[in-house]
Amino acid sequence: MAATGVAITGMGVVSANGIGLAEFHDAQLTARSGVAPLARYVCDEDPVRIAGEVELPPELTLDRRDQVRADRCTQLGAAAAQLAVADAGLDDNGWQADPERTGVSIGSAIGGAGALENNYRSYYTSGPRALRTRAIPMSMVNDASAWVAIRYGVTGPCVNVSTACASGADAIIAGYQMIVSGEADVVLAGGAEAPVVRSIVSGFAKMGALSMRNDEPAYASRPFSKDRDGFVVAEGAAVLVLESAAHAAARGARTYAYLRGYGRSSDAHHVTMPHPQGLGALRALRRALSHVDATPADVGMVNCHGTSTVLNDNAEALAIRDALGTAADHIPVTATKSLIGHSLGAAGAIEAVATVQALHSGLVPPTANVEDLDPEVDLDVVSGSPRRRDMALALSNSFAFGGHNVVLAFGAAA
Amino acid sequence: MNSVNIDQQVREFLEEELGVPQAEISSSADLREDLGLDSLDLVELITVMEDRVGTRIDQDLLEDVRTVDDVSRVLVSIAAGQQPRAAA
Repeated sequence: MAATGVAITGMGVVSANGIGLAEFHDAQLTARSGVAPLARYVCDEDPVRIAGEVELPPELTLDRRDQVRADRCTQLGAAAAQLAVADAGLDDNGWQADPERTGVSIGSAIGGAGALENNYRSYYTSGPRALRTRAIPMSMVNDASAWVAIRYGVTGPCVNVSTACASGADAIIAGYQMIVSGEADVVLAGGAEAPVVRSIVSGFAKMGALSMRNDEPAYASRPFSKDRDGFVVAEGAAVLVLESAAHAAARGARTYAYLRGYGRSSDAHHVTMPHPQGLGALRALRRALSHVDATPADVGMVNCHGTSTVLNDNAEALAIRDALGTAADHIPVTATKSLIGHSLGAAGAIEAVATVQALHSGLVPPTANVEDLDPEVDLDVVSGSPRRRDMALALSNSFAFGGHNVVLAFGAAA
Repeated sequence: MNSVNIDQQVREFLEEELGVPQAEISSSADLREDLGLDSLDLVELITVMEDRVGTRIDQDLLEDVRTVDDVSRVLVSIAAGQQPRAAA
């Protein structure tokens, strides 16, 4: 297993620019943005009035009884899990694995923030009796994981990982580890986030982290662009079906790609600012290459964290250049967030899907809105149209508030 | 609040706040077995209704509550200042 890694046999994604694999892939290749005027709450007087919001179709929407029991974060995670399970054929004629050896690992940065905000409002205006009885479970950051385990009756390890904007990537690593350690055969792993909540958006705005391009939503998220002014808050979820290669082979599952390994580090520098030279990110990139026994020349592409903030993008560009050296001259990099904004704890999982799709299709999707590349960014940023490239190895970066650095290393299926 | 009002409020709460489809809410529907309510939903229902009738309901009065009609009957009795008759 160490040679190839863990098989990815199914994927589900619900994002601002596409629901399901086909629509999401098409949106990336055609650079269709999902960022639009914020509709979830009244924000006319607020400094930020744009977001990446998801419109779930009826077939992915929980029935009313479950809707009132689950925060939108869980609802999005449930939708992505439903798509992933169907894509992997995991629930065809019964569960196609031992339920006791099926795990769940869905990451989230802020969990049920909307439910929490609603209940605090009730509490502060009407007192403790006004709290809903589901105030606590609906707010839990692990609710999406718990919901998925209950829904499918899978009783293996069920965890949540919360490392801010690296949660989705870290949750995928947790799933990888369950399989490599022999604890599980199959894991539903990914991330879910529903941060289009007034107190959350306003909090990021107060930090100066968000783009103020309210009048041109599709152009607001501009990773690596010289005139970028911050990120765009987005909701979304993605779940990958991780499976041991042996289990996938035994049930004849289709394998998109392999999660071969990863690299992680902590900046140990500042709670929100990345290390200015990207030293933490650099260590994570080097560890990922070392983990999969690869050299920079083996890297086919990098899906960047690329948030569109001034600080992240410069530090990340330095880290990638340092890690890959002269090989970076010819390694295309892209940033999914240019099209959907930043879905926090879901981002690492959504970008894992995008990276696997790029490996599988041989097409590196373009980064939108980089007509004027920041001269500090010494990288081959794909823009305009997709880049065709046969790749054996692709990296996906997630660098989070708190200094959590995660690099996933995906290998092409044979 | 009269008995019709209370019964109507119970039904509206089940539908609007707990997401139970209106078509499933009959007088004899069992709250747990037929409507799928769990213990958290029942606490929600009872505390909101307590606030509406303006008094707390003794736990022992709730022990035999099974159906939509049982809830309404307990609330109506309390609102009227009477001891409710035992649930059927």
